[in-house]
Amino acid sequence: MSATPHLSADEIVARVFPEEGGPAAVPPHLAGCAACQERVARLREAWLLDRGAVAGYVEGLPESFWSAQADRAMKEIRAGATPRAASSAARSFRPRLLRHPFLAFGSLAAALVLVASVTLSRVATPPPDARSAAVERPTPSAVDRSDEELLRAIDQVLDDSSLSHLAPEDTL
Amino acid sequence: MAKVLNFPPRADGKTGETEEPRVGEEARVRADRVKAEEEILARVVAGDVEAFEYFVVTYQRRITRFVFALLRDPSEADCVAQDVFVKAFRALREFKGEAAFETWLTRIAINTVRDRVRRRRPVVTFSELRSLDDDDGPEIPPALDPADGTSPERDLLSGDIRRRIAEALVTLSPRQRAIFVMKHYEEKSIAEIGQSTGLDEGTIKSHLFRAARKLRICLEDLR
Repeated sequence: MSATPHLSADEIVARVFPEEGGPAAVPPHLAGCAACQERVARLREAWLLDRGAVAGYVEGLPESFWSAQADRAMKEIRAGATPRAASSAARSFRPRLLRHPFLAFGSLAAALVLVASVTLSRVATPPPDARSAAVERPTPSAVDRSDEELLRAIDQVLDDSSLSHLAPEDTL
Repeated sequence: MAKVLNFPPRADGKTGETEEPRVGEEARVRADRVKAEEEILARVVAGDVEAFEYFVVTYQRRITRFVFALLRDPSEADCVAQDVFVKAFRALREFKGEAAFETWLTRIAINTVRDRVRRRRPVVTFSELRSLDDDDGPEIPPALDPADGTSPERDLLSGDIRRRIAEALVTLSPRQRAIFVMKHYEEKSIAEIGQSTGLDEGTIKSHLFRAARKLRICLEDLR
């Protein structure tokens, strides 16, 4: 058994996860201490198992998983690429208009006629204020009149001073 | 007559029909691949969306493995890996070719994982911490817990250390975790990690040191 103290946790971690340039120098204690060697070996084994398990899990995934993932990614990419497709459609639409000038001018003339007719029809109709003024106010119906009478009667009862001496319990 | 290939040899570690290149040929094969990838990138940028599938198929295994090592959740890793490619496609015009495409993808993966971790980080009250400690922890899916078969006691112990490693990784910040995984799981050099993270050597080593320190704390009572 070695007389020097056991490796600290820092030293064990440094043995297993060295900085760049290879593993750190072997501490003299480690060469003669089976317990510390065991601790280093356990940590390294666990880390390698973990690393191997991560890689193994991913590599073990079936081909269908990868093709499905690629399909989903490409589907989303294609969907995102729609603006580019729209701009190319717009580019192809412009020369078509130029190839058919009669169609283009005909459409423009029709649009102008439509705008002119809408404007003229608005001028011919009376302004909204005049129309609203012409509408008569509705006359109160018999039901409305009876409701007003009822409300007036309630007001009279509440104003009646003869009930003011009664306690709230009595009025109930 | 030589067979004309549309795509260069895959870089996902799967050799497929091509033979594993010898050590001397490795640099030439890599240079050929970079050149071919530049051509494919140019096609994609010019509007050939379908050409981007090459990058998805070539790098999906690496990216998924990296993301999975960080998140330890198979379905989440799948979603994030998909997001990485979608984001890469949308940001393709920003790729200047200063680093390898894979390095650029890794950077996107780190950012995507960071965003995901921030979003999912639960608010844990102080009183709940105790019960979390007692929990066996969901970090290692059952499918990822293979026994080495040497002995039940040893398997138990290895499982315990692995669980603690996974727990220690979860306590790291997303950036520290990414750096630690790149170094000790993906075996990347400090220079490569620097390219992926945009950090200098000193900062990376500092993150590695802090990550190891947290790991030490988690393994302190290990005997």
